[in-house]
Amino acid sequence: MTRRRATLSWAEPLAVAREISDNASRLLDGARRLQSLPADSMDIATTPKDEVYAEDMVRLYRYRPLVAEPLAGPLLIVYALVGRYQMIDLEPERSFVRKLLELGHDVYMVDWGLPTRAQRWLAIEDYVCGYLDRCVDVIRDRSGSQKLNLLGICQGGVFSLCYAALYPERVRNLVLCVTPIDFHGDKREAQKGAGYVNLWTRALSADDVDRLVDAYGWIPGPMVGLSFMLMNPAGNAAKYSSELPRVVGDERRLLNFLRMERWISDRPNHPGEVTRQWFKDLYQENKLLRGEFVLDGRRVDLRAVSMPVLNVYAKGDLPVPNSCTRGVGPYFGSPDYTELGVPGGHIGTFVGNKAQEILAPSISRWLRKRA
Amino acid sequence: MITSQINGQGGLFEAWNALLQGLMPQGARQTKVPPDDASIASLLSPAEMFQRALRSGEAAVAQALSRTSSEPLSTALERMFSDWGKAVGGLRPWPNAAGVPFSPGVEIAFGGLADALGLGPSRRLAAALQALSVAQAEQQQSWLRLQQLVVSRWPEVAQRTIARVVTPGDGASGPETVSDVLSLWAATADEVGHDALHGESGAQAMADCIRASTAAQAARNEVGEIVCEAMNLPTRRELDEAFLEIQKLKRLARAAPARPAVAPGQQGTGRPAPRKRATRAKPASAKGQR
Repeated sequence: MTRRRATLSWAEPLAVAREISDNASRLLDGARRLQSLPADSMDIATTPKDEVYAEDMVRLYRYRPLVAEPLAGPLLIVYALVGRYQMIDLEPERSFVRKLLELGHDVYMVDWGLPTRAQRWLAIEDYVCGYLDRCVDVIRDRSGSQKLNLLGICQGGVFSLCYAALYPERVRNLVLCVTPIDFHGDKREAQKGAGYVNLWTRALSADDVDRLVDAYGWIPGPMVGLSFMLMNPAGNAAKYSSELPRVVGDERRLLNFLRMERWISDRPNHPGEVTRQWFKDLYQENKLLRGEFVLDGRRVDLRAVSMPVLNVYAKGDLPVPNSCTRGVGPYFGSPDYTELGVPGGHIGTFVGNKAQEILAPSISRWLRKRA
Repeated sequence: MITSQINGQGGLFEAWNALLQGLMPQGARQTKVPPDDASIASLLSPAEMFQRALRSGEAAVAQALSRTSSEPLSTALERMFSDWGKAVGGLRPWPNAAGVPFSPGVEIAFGGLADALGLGPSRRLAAALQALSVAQAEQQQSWLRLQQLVVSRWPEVAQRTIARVVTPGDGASGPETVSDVLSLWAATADEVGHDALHGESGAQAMADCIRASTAAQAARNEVGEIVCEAMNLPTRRELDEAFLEIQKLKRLARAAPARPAVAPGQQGTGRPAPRKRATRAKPASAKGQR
């Protein structure tokens, strides 16, 4: 085993004093730089798009193609409710959507919006059999395609999977990204630091979940954000004192940092009934994999998922452990099932520089082969 | 203050608040300062907590009443409480720590009078606030127990950090700046936190926090209900019922057959054709799509 002696220059008083002084100067420069930046420099999700459908707080967007002749099959991206869809179009250099557009895809996106108290009774069937189904209607109508490609991310992947199982005749290909499918997978393969939601949800009783939803009505966005932050509290707190001084001198990196922070802090409220189903039916009882999950009176049967499936997992995913994502092929009715591991974490997969070079091109290749 | 407006007796409400404060252990009153062991123990001992509340409550009531002695109603109430208190054996007409009246007789006599004076909502509010205080204290305790799980292993953070600074892993170089050390410390702290929490006891502690938070929220809701009712505002429950009705109607609309895909009399496909509900395409502004 090779051991290298640590560089201990940081422990010298003069070096420490110099670093503190340098950091203070950098922060001051950064503050001046922020003052000089135009107001729209913090904008996220700026890839041009058009709103093509609106219902309640839900919007369906079609991104303007970046190639002269986009591919024929429309691609609908379904994001989760626990965050805003802007994450996959954070900024031009780190935009999953822009990559797909450059690769010739005709991309649509559902924005679930910001649910209010009035939407506290929305259940998963309202999203899957209601909003999502109507968005698919609109896309079919506009494009003339009877089938479309569906790409679901995280919770949006669960919605997409349910939709594909309930309406297989409308889905040509299904792409699932960082999607929990086997909610008890972590029992088989525990991974320290990953799957906290799995752990504490199972530590609650079904009645506890009912009381939680009844008391709050919805899960407030800040509480959702806090639950993610608490998965790595020290790291999340330290980034402002260690990472920020490092990037503050570089305008591009500073804006990268701030745009990410902006996205992180914009957490929508999570509708109560979705929460109830999400925790009880899925996390506690694993009904999706067991074929017992019922939406709108119809059982979600994964064997009805007969179209090609690409299941993408992030190798460093902590909120959704790999054990909850991988190895679910045998449960699907599709003979064409592929798993793809990409570097990065749950979010880093979509915004990390390395993953950017892998994720969109891999998905695009897979879709083109099955066009 | 809403509560003062409802009661019409700010001084009495101050007294009541002080009484509630008396119910709380010293540490728990300062939300930013975690309670010490003695305070935690006192919370777990209803008898001690009750005694503490009585002592604090008596003093607070006396002080508040003396301040508001110029007000006719409070003077009357003071005399009334005093006389009736003697009549029922010297007990004050406040509910005990569990929110249960000392005796049904006291509750009936004073409750009826309070209701007659239009103080019914404030009595309910007082009980709800008391329940909220207890629930919040329990919530704080549950978070402390969770933190304790991590803090009990805190020395490991320093040990592991120092070990990694002195002897970095294979191929790694040691930290070169204070920021590097801070990052290393944070990663190590989270690792130790995971060691502490990623198990049965950690899961239970987190679940306890959620249960306690839920109970505190339910208590807050109850306070809100009483205030809304007293001010003739729609309550949370009433609004939720209305929202539920709307959602049910939307589901009914969704389940209703859409525009027929084929002419009447012809055999349909069993599924409605795509509905033309799309709004006119319009550019989404670059910022704030809404």
